[in-house]
Amino acid sequence: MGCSMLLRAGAGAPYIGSGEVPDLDYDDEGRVNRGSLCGKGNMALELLTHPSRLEKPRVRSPEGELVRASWEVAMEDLVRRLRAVTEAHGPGSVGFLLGPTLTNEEAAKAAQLARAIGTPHVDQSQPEDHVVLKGLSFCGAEPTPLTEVDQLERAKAILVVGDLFTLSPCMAKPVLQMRYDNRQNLVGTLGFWKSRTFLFGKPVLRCLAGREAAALTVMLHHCLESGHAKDVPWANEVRAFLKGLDIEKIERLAGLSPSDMDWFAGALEKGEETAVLFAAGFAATERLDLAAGLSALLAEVTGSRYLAMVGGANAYGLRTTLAEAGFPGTEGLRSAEMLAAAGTGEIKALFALGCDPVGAYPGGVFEEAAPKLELLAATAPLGSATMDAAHVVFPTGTWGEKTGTVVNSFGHENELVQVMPPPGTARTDADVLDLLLDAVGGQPAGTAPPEPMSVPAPAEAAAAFFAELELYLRFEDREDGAREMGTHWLFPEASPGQSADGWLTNPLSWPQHESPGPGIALSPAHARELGVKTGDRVRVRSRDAAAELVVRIEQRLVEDVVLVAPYYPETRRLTGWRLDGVLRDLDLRPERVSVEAVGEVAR
Amino acid sequence: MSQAPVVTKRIVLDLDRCIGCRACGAACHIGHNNQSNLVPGRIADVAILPVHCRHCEHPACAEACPCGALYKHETGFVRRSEILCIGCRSCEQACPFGAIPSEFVRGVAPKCDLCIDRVLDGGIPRCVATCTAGALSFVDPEESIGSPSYVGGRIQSRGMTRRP
Repeated sequence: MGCSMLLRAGAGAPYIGSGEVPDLDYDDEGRVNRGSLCGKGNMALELLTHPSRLEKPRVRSPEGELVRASWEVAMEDLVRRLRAVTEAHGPGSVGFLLGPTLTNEEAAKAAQLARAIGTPHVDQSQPEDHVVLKGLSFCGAEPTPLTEVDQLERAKAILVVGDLFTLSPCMAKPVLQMRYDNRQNLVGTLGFWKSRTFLFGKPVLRCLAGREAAALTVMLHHCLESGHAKDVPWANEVRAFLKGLDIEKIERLAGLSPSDMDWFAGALEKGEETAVLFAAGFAATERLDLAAGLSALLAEVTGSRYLAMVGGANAYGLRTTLAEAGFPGTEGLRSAEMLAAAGTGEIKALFALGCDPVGAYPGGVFEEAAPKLELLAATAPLGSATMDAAHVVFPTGTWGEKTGTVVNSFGHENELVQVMPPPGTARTDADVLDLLLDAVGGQPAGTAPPEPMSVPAPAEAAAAFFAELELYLRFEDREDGAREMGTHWLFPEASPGQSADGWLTNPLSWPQHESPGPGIALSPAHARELGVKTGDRVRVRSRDAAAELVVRIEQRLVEDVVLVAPYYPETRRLTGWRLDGVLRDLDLRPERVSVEAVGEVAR
Repeated sequence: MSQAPVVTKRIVLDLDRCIGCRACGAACHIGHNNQSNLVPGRIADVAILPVHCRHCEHPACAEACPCGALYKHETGFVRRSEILCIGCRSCEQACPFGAIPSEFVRGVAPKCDLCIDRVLDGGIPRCVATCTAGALSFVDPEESIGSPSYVGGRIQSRGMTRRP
């Protein structure tokens, strides 16, 4: 949700071989999370210290294998491939996808680079954003926005459309607080799948799969007819539109008890402080645009505060930054179109900056298209499915490793502060883009900014929105309707509740990872002398004991010193130690040991 | 060495509120060097609840420990020395609440330390700070039992034995 957190470099417990260990603390002054973090937020530290963080660029060799390379080699390879694509297919065959971890400044740089290359195809990587935003801008509603978390806690009734918990656990927290602090408070959860959001719903408005738009139409109808509706400019037109529909049929379409919907719509209307939260991932509903627009209309007519949450909690600035630069313009492809264009061969080179289009979009949408690309360049802190398919991969820093600004769903601007350098030779996305700008160089091909997207006049947009809604509600056979309407489910094979975030929260196991086992840290010189490398085994002897341990090379270690973790029975005997009399805890003393290589090391 | 204050507060779970999101486990995991000290209690595949160490007055785990790794610390916490623990699983067997996780990390038994680093500075444990549903609270059980506003807490605090 765009929470703030405090990271301190080097404050974590000093485990062997871990280098600079950051410590994570909760920001008491955080405007969204206020002194806590959700399961997702806590995992930020795991990302920072993940053992498989990328440290070196990788390049696809002629044999088709991804091999490590220096920055110079990787950059050269990238520019060579890019030149080949632009010369053969024109600059319009290059696309840029910007992931949610990029800062506003990095997005501006990416736009600059795209202009230098001369392509209009730049977009943020979350395909559902456009659909939701289209619905919101076309429907003509202007509800009061929800800007602070306190407003949720003060509310008496909240309507949650979609799986709030999966999309944003932080936002679920104030909703739960409000629900439990006063048992008279209502949290209506509208959706169909089994999720944690439904555990705290009261009432639970369970509609048929994907039929949120139909259920919301019924609720909107109730509010407009009840006489409590707030004075809104579009009321009469919408009333007339709804008169022309068979509401009973729509109730059956939604599959919800009409009395439930009416009752909750009434509660929303009569409550003094109410809110509507739209939190639907891209597989949540049949028509994301209609559901988003209708929820906004419902919020305005009931006088509720409104917040639409879409994937990428910190990616809100990304979109505005790109829009200021004119991307994606009239000609530019949106993210979903870009992926489809990769399949048809329209896009030949794709930059996936800080995102994982191959892994994140379910149902193999992009999996089949990826091999058809002549250049797939990725920047990522960790290995991903996109990396496996990419031609060039650059390791980049993540939160805590770069400076910049991001804007969260509430519109709060947050500042990122760098507390530690990225691991190994990894750089920030901004540095990578700078290097690329230098490398592409020369006179930019298309310096003129792309034409901004044309937005229809409000009346025209609303007419289009309600025409779509009518078309949707009138279809008897849903499958035929889907084909005819074009956009049925964005990704039919995706699991309900999933968003471009992927399953970040749901697979959160009770984290109990297997540790790598007892190990020994050697200095690089020492390891060379012994002829061992990381992962090999050595025999370590001290005065009292001996053990066979796995080697890890620690760059900063002084020669002639080895480090052994005392937390295993095997290694504990090697080191000298005694117990602190007061705390009865560890008091370690150095011990003289000898190290020799064992087994096959000459690999 | 200065006298550490005695902490009488304990982590209490309100069963009515817990939605089984396991964010507490994630916070514990991150706060303790990738070693979660919380046990996921499963109720017949219906619900998942965190099972916290009660830091008993007379800890059965400390009685069972053959090498004195578990002991009652002067702050009132039941602590475990990583260096003394030999991973024999006696404490796991002895704990009447099943609060010692059965998955051993680094060869030793994970054990809740009540986030001593935060609590002694006046903070609250990581799991309580993280709890999405506000189900976990850090309170003095004696005070909470009598409180009319405290609904589910009594279910767990009954399990704690305190000297009269």
